[in-house]
Amino acid sequence: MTHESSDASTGERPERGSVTLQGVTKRFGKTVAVDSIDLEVKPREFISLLGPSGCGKTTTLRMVSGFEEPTSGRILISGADTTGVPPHKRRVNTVFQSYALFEHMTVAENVAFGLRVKGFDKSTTATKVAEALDLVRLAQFAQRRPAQLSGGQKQRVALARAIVNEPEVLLLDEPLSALDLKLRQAMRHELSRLHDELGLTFIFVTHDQQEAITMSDRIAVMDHGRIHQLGTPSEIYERPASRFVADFIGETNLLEVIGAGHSGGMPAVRMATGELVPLAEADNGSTVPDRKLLLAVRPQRVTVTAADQPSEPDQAAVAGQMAELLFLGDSTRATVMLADGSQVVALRYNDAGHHPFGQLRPGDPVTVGWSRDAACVIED
Amino acid sequence: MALVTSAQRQRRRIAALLTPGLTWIALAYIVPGALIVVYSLLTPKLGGGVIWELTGDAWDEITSKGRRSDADWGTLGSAAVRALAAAAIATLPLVAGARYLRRSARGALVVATALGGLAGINHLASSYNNYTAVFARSVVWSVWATAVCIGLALPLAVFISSRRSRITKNALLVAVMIPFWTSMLVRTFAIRFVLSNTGPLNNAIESLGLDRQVFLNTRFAVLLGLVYTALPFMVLPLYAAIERSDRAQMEAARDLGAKPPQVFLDVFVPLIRPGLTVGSVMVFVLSVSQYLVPTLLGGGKTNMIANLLDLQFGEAFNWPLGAAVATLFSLITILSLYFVVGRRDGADLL
Ligand SMILES: Nc1ncnc2c1ncn2[C@@H]1O[C@H](COP(=O)(O)OP(=O)(O)OP(=O)(O)O)[C@@H](O)[C@H]1O
Ligand SMILES: [Mg+2]
Repeated sequence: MTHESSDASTGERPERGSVTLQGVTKRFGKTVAVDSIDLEVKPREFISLLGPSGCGKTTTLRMVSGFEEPTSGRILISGADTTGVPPHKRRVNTVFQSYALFEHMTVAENVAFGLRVKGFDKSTTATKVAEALDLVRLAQFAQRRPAQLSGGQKQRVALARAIVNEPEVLLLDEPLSALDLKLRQAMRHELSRLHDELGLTFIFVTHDQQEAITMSDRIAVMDHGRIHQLGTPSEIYERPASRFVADFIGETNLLEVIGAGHSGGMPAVRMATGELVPLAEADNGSTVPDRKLLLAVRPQRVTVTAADQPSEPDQAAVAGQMAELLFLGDSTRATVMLADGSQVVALRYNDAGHHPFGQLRPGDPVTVGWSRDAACVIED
Repeated sequence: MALVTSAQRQRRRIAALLTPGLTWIALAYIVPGALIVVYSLLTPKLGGGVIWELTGDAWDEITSKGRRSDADWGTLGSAAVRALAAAAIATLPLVAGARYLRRSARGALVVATALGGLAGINHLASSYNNYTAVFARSVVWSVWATAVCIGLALPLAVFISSRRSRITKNALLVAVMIPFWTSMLVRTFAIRFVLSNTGPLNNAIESLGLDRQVFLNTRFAVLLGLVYTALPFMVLPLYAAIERSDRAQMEAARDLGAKPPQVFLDVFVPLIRPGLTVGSVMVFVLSVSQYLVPTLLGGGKTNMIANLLDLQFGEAFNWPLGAAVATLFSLITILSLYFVVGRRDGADLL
């Protein structure tokens, strides 16, 4: 998707479906659930709020839907200030984590509810309900009650019930977390398809980084009520901005380094073990000598070779000892112990019958390496 | 060798567990119940008891047109049928109301029709004979007591349930139940004192510069007594239902654009319907068989069914007539319960 470029020019005139949070804070007594968040959600964007339990995701969503008022700051939906606007007057609908289907109504009545209370006539309602049920592939379940549906079907009823109202923004609060793994993966595709077909703004809350990475245009990583990093999935994955983000998104090696300016014409940092490690570009203070930093490298990007093999000059090369080899089925995980006691993990897919780490065995002296664009420096 | 399957063993164990209870029900309810029906068909003995001679006098008495009655409709048979219908229809708003309020227009229509029918039949029954008048009055007042209890208990239960701390909730629930720790007789006498011509209520009214009013021995006093006695039986099931209800559904309704009254009728009422049904049945059954309240607060002018029974068994010594009244009374209660138990909410009652 290419919202970024097209919207940058029209940033002055907010469009239908945009959501803007300006310095939004929410306190419950002494707890600060959301701490001065700024966020610009673009029209038709699929944005994820990703973070651990209790980080304020639901609270943020509830302020957009109107169930909570911000303690300070303001929220604009489609450019209009929502301060004091009650939930039933906002053109925003929510898919609740617990689905919250009306148990005493059939599937069709559930989906029709929003239209009925808004006073749509019977035939319009029936047509729209049928369309919405078709869209989530539940047409044949229209007369069932929620109690007679599976988790995935309930989830889709909740979706149909929300989208039939043609909201400007759809809020989804961990809609997949109650489903088993298989169903969750299927529903990811379903949600992405719906997003493409409907052209609505989706604000999707999850604590599952896989979910966020596979579905989102952009991800806001949250912790303790703050947004730690906002960016595309690949930005978040390749260039985590903080130790928290690097830790939270997938497995990563975090190594203590210090700034070392340049080495052999390339920006570099020095490992705690003394080796100089080249970087693709100087960033986050790597040019400041002796500045304490963290180096983040994904296990998939780490190579492990026998100590006596030569390494390329623009590659990192750090001496260590193979500590553990773990067979994981589809891949093998090698843990290498460095001279200062820190560990580096490398992950390789198993190639039919071939051991991905060759003849190396635990106890062997090895060299761990990575190409310089695999590493990223984080200020600690 | 005969093998005992686990299903058989299970069935035997259940039978063994149920035997004492079923025996008790047989001895305490079915035998006396059958006896009452038989007694209603016998000849009264002077000074109490019965003579074992079959007669339909008692049933004639309670089903035939009263001497001073100005109503002139129907035959004796249809009169009895209509009296039963009155009781059955009186229970309709409880059941149907709770059942259909989801569709607010239809719900209102059903309740209105039922209440209208009740009023009409009450009018007829009241003017038919003394017995039907007492039945009609008991049913109508119990329906009113139920309605007033719902009106008072619902906001109260919502208030208690919306308290944050467990301690506050429990304290308020205990406060609702405190009247039960004093004897019913003492409580009813206390209300009598409060309402009396020289009681605190009238003193307060006089101190405001108004005339003293007669409260005691009025319909108002009886209704007050019925509501006061039965209110906790409405508050507790409603509170339990509200606590159990899925609040997310109410939020979902608001999220979908429902205005607060729509959320109340379309989602909140259906959610708490089991509590509403249970509470209504309890309040109705409790009220319709009240003895102390009409005696002490109604001053004998405004009798209910229990007073009629007391009169026939205790003072008039016409046991068959009392038995006939009791039979009819049980029939009404069983019929109205059947309406409820026959439906989904019955599961919450049993
Ligand atoms: N109504 C409330 N009253 C008091 N504190 C609250 C309330 N709602 C949320 N909080 C607190 O605010 C913080 C953020 O809660 P929130 O529900 O937004 O977290 P979350 O990110 O959605 O977590 P989860 O992934 O577990 O759903 C938590 O510390 C929570 O205890
Ligand atoms: Mg949450």
